[in-house]
Amino acid sequence: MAAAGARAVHGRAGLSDSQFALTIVGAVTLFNVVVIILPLIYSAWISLYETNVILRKEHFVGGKHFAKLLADPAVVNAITISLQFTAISVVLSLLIGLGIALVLNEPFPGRGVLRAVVLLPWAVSEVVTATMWIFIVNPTFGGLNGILAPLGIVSPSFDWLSEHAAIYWVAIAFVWHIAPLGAFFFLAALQTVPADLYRAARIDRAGAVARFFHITLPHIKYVVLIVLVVVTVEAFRGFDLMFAFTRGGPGTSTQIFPLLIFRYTFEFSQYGLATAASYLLIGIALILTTTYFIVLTYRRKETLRVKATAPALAPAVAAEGARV
Amino acid sequence: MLHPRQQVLLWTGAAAVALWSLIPFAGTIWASLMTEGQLVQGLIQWNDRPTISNYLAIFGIGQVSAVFGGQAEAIGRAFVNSIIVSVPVAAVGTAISILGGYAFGRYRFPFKNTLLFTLLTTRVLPPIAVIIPYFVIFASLKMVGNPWGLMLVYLTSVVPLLTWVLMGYFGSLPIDLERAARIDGCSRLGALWHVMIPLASPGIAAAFIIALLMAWNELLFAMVLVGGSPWETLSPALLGLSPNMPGFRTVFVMFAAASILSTIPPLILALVFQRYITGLNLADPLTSQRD
Amino acid sequence: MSAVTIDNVMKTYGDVVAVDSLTLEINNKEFVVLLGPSGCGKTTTLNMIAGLDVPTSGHIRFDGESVEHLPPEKRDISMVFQSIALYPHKSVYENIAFPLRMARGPKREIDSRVRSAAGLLRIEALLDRKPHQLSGGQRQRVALGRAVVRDPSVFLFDEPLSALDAKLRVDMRVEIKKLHERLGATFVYVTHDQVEALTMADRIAVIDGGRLQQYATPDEIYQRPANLIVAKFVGSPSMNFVPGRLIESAGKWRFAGEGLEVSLPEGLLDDPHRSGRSELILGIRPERAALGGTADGTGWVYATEPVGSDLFVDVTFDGPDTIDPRLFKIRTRPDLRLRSGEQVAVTLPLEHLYFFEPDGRRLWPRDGAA
Ligand SMILES: Nc1ncnc2c1ncn2[C@@H]1O[C@H](COP(=O)(O)OP(=O)(O)OP(=O)(O)O)[C@@H](O)[C@H]1O
Ligand SMILES: [Mg+2]
Repeated sequence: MAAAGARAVHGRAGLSDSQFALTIVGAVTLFNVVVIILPLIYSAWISLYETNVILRKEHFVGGKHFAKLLADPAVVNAITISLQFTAISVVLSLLIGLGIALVLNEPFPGRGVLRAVVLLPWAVSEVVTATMWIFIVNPTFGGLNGILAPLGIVSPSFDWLSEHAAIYWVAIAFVWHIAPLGAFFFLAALQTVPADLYRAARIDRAGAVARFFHITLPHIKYVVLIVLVVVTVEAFRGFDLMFAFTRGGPGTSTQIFPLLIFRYTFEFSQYGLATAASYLLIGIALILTTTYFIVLTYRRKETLRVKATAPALAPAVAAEGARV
Repeated sequence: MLHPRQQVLLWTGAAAVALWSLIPFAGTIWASLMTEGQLVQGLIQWNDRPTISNYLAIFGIGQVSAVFGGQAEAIGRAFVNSIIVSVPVAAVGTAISILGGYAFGRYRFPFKNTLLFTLLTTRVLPPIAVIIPYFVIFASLKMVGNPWGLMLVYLTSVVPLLTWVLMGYFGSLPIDLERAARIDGCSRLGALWHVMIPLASPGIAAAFIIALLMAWNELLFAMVLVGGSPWETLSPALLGLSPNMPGFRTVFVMFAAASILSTIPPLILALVFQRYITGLNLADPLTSQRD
Repeated sequence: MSAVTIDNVMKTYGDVVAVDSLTLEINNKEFVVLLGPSGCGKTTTLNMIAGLDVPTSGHIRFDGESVEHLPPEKRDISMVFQSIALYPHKSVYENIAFPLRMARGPKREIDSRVRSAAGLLRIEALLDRKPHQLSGGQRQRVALGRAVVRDPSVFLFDEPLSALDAKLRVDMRVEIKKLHERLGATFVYVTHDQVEALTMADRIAVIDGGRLQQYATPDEIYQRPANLIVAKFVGSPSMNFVPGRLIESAGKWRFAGEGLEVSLPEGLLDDPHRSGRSELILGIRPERAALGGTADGTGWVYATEPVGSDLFVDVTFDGPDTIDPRLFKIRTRPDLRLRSGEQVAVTLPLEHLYFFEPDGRRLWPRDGAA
């Protein structure tokens, strides 16, 4: 590929560095924009129409769907659940990710193996993540009841996925899957903390807790923010795990906003409503990320004094995609 | 060097991390080695006769329950489909991203930040938000029920991330090596091919794997674009076995075996390339990049 | 074989002016050294000759032909980088062979040329190694090998010896010079080491702050520095400078600096541009000033530095107990015994004096005078 390309460039000796780069990057970006923006424009158009699937007819309804959505308690409910799920996931991911990183940052025999093991949940799909946690929380044969019921802690066939608790279990499963990413971000940051600082702190008789709060945390706070953004965006826009784990149930207790849109689309064939809701979802996602973006830009300038060459949101947005 | 009390703390922590990461695997693997009759007695029990018949059933070997037969076969086919979809996506996505990452990481040009930002912003979009237009557009282009639409969607979702990752990687390589290649007679693309790509191979390998896993694991687009068709990939096929799927009586042990089987390739890749993947500065290549 | 012309070239990076209106004629087969302190724009200049950087304005010509439209790979040049830049994934053999492979030479010929280049640089035994298995000096030789394996018309060297220890540097200096004689190509060599420049160059271009300060033979640069910057930069240890003013008494003019008074050379004051201004800077090289003698001044020994063949004496005219005094260096016989604080007479021979205007221009010796 490159050999042939190389000769092509030879032919056009006049192409300057920036023309060369712009050509490549322009093509790549254009490809992506076309494949993503065009459908979005199309869906904006759909959202303004009422579709009758049976008669295969459409008529213009303007902002009706948007008005309807905002008045719909199911929408409010779904957004609330989404935010709740996001909040739980963020807190747990930060705690667990940091905990894993702190362990991996210490030298001990077998650390290399543990480092590899930690990455495994990240490599697993959300569908399989759901499977694995179903085998843990299933009331009939699940592992949790299998251990806790004989000890008398819970009654046999205790239902972990009750209306109140289900959201937590899905969040835990999600964190199991995504925390490794955060852990490795944290680990990279921890490894940049100068060891001399810890030695100096020991000489000053600072305890482990004091060292953590006075040395470690200030050094990694920028990464804390990155992980925060990554998990927020992912938790808020994610669909696969929730769909595979609970499908929104029991009742609507885990019906996050993307699941509601899915139901509008594929159960009720309300395409106009669903696309309108999509825009609402995109709007909220953008508000969330922009908020963090502002915080992040500010922090970045403050803590790193790196000139903001690329948009400061970029690292977070990119890192967010590193979840597979 | 550590205090004994700290030693205990550290080992407890390490054990906790290992258990947290591995127990969900262990539980499902354990279930996959049981018969359905055993499993309903509970997952936590000693199984002195573990069976691999569930796995064999997926490959169409041994006696397969009549109800389950079709689904087991579907898993085998989905496995192949997933390979057919994800390998080209990862290869083409990586190739495009090598070019994009090289251009972004190595050159100054007008609108650089705008273009980078545009490219990356597409990643924040919730996938559900584009599912209807994709479905309608691809249906009209006859790209539903076959892998083309799905591959296109996957390609657009891996390219921004991989471009970003490789941009950081190329940016961190010594620029004089590329300049030396130019002096030694290479064009820009020649220098990329002969010098930069070999040097970036760990990053490129990691990028390839990230793309592969993404395409292998994704559910929503797969379900909508190829679900129920002969081109169904693993995630939607697995979902077909899950207890959440209305209309079927779930055979849990089979579900466990299929899940484990589907996750073996990602696990192997993650284990083998762990260093490369975690060595990538996924979060913030900017700080490691010299301009 | 090419003559290289740098014609009024300017290079800016945002607000930073890396190279400022630089004009330089480099003759065919000439060995020209670009000399200047760190950050003065040497690498940038070299990169523009190579085509790795594009001038913001101005032109680069090879044999009178503009090369702006030519990418580096088509300019018929070799370059040795400041960072050495061996390809880490290729063996020494492949590193050296790479330019030939890119030129699609026949295999047999590639092999014989790689081996002869390796022979020239005495690295035949290293051909199978990877760069990380080499010492700094060996890497340097491989980098040179990669440059000489072709016979381009222009060789560019960017501080190729900066990574080496002192002994190896001296050896390699000689080898590069011999290489120049043997290859008969145009050499442009960048360094911030004035000894390298003085020993190797046909002509030296002294650059500071992106501007050309002087372009002349090593001898000329050393003997007749064009200005204060060149005078400061060339010569080791550096020239002594004493600011002072002109004083007249009984019709005779003298220069009076701190602790020093010398009568002025014949003809210095004839310069019509000088009228009305009396400030001057006197310069003299350490090896030209002397202890004892007619005593143009009296100072105190501040410190002595024996270097084996010579003794350098730091003299201060500020008084015996001044903290952080201004020092005046004098080279003298190694067997001289001097105590710190001892009072000494200092003599400045008239024929070795330099005078500079406060703005840096050399006033004396006059241009064109013998
Ligand atoms: N890519 C760049 N962007 C911005 N400024 C640059 C760039 N390259 C060089 N400069 C600036 O241009 C000036 C000249 O740089 P150059 O590398 O030519 O110096 P040099 O003489 O080779 O120094 P050294 O002896 O340290 O190698 C410096 O002030 C440098 O900071
Ligand atoms: Mg330089």
